[in-house]
This record gives sequence, structure tokens and C-alpha cells, in this order.
Amino acid sequence: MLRKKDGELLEILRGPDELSRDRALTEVYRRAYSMIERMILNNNGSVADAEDIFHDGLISFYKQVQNGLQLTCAIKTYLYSVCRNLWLKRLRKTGRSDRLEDMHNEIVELDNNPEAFLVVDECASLLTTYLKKLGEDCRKIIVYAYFDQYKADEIAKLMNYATPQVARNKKSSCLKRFREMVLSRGETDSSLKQCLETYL
Amino acid sequence: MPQEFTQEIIDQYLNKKLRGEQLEAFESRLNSDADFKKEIELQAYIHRGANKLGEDEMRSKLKKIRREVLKSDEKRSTETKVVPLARKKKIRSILRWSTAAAIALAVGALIYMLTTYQNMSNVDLYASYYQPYAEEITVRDAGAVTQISQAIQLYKDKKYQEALPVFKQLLIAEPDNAELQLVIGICQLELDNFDKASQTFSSVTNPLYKDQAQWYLAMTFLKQSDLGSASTILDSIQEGEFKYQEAQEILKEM
Repeated sequence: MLRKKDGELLEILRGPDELSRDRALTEVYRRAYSMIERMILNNNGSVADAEDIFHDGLISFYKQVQNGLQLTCAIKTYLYSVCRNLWLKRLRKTGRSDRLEDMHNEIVELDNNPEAFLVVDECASLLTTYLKKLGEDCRKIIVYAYFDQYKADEIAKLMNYATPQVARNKKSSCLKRFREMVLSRGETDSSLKQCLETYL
Repeated sequence: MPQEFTQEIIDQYLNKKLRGEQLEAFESRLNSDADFKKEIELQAYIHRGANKLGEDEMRSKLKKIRREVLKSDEKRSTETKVVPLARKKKIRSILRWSTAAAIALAVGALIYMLTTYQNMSNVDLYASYYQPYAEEITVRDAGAVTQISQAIQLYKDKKYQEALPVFKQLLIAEPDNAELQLVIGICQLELDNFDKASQTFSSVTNPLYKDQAQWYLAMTFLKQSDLGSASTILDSIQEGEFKYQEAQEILKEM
């Protein structure tokens, strides 16, 4: 059963209020972590693994929420299933085990691959260093628009712009600047050049 | 003349939110226009970079949240470890006392003992379980930062009488700030202004803080020895909510 509070938490996670979002994340952390830590500790993992997997799971969950995830179970049950999936894959990848003993009887069938919501490639990491050079405002706007998937009116509110159109214009000019920066640096930075060649 | 796509549409495509006819039109343009395809690929790369940066930022935020959560868990577990021990000892010594009293004194004395114990135990329960709200308080207005840090210092020094008006002042600007509501309620509770404290805790509507407010409301009744109201609220605290375990312990001891 989806508890009423879970529905409220999803709404907050979807919304553009960062302060409330962080509190909602804290609440989710408080509710779900210990259960997932126990599962990982009992299945060849360490506390560090538990932290790692749980944070990946939470980020994947957050991205899924932005993509319109509808839940029919409690958030912690869903997160458990996401983390279970991620941990099982890591166990298999490292050859430690190919099965997993459950500590929680409510597992839901996932209709997606939680890893697909995470960005793991080196080229994307390389780009983050350039994004940071773009300046505070542009960096924020681009992350809001693509990671948090906030709409123009929401970005306007977060950035204290008078209208959504200001946010739209600002975003376009940030993207344009970034695009030019990437293309010109691509000529001198050999790893960026390689990435661009792979992507384009 | 090919259809022009605005940045908004491109973003929707990148965020995988484009559907139906719009998506079809977009994809057919991708297939027929190599320059367009190249441009979108560049933007898709930028999109991945932005997502990676968002993830990195969220990861460091989660590390911070982790510290907070683990810290409050630690506090909770030491509390529950210490409290029952102290309580049992007290009950035992009182029982030993009452046996002696039963032999030595008349029944009236025993009744007197029992009533004292009853009163003691409510105040005692309150004292064992109550702790002032100690989480961080955040205010939206950057100009209020010095004001809030002064008030928090007063609050930490238990100068509730002085801290209260400052918190109240800040609440005017942000009437729905649940953290402020909580500390105001605590100040009122500490100053034995029970009616005001109950009012304040009851007015917390933010779903993220409601369980904490309920806990402190129960503490307010407990401090007044209103066991009926306290137990109703403690009873309503559900598993996974703030201080669930403590609520169960108190209910048992009551």
C-alpha cells in the first residue's frame, strides 16, 4: 500500500523547492537506509558498499520520479528493489555471487533498469569540469533544466527571474556559450576531442 | 522548408518527454537532416554532462544527509539504551521501599507512596524521554541569518524566554517554516506555557515535520501529567515515524 505520506514525498521530490526536496530526501534516507544496509551486509557487502549502492539507488529513484514514476508500493519497498537490483548486478560483475538472500519480503518487480537512469561514462564526467567553468548561474540553470527537469517557470522562480521567458532566454544563451566552449576546447583538449568524435 | 524546433522542444526530446506526433516529426527530421542530427547529438552529449554534474552534486548532498541521519540515529539509540535502565532502578527501589513501608506503616502511608510514585513517574517519563529539538534551522531570507544564529545560541543556552520573541519575529516572514514552529513550541513548553505550546505543535502542517510536532505535543501533555491525551497521540505515531520506538516504550510504561 502506498502510504499517504509517500505520495506527499513524491510530490515534494518532483517540485522545484530545493529546501523541501532536501528534507524529503532526508526523510526517505531515514526510512529506507537501514533495511538496505542490512541486505548488503548480509550479502557479501560492506558499509561502504551499502552507502554507495544506496546513493546510486536514490539518485536513480530521483531521476525516475522526474520522469513521472507512479508508485503502487511504499517508497522504501521500491528503493529496496532498486538497490537490490543494483547490488545483484555488482555482485555478478565482480564475480562475488550470482544470487542474493533477501531481508525484506516486499519486493516489487521493476519495469525498468535502474542503472539506465545513471550516467557512468567518462566523457560525461569530462564535460562536468567544463560545465563548472561556465559560471554559477549557467551551471545551475543547465542542471535544473536537464537533471532536475524543471520547467521555465520553475527555473525563473528558483533563479529569481521576473518571467519564465527570462529563464528561457538565459538558458538558451547559456547553452549556446557552453556549446561553443565545448567545440573550441575540443580542438586543444585531446580527450574531449575523442569524446566528441565518439558522440557526433 | 523543414520545421523549426525550438529549444523547448529539443529539451523535451532530450528529457525523453516528447510523445506522439511531435516525437515522430522530430525523429523524421533527425533521419533526414544530417546537420540537425549532428546538432542534437552535441546537445545530447551536453545533456549527459549536465546529468552527470547533477548526480555529482546530489551525491555530495546525500553524503551530508547521511551524516545528519546517522548522527540522529546515534542519539536515539543511546537515549533508548540509558533510559529504561534508569527507570527500572527507580521502580525497583520504590518497590523495595513500599514493602518496607507496608510492614512498618499503615495502609494510608502506602497509598500516599503510590500516589507520589504515580506523579513522579509522569514527570520522570517526561524527563527521561524529552530532549529539545536540536536539528538545524534554515531560513529562506538570507538577511535573517545573523538574527537566527543569535536566537539559536540563546536556545542552546536554554535562554528560552529570550529566544522565543526572536523566533516569533522570524516566523512572521515565514509562517509555514516548520522548523521555526518546532523551536517556538519547545520554548513555550520549556517555559511551561502549555496551552501555547500545544497550539504551536498542532499548527505544524508540513508533512515532513508533522511527526516530530506530534511527538512534542505528546511531551507537552506528559509534562502536564495528562496521560489520556498523551497516550492518544503516542498511539497514533506509526512505525518508521519520528520516535516510534520511544512512543511504544512510554505507552508500555504508562
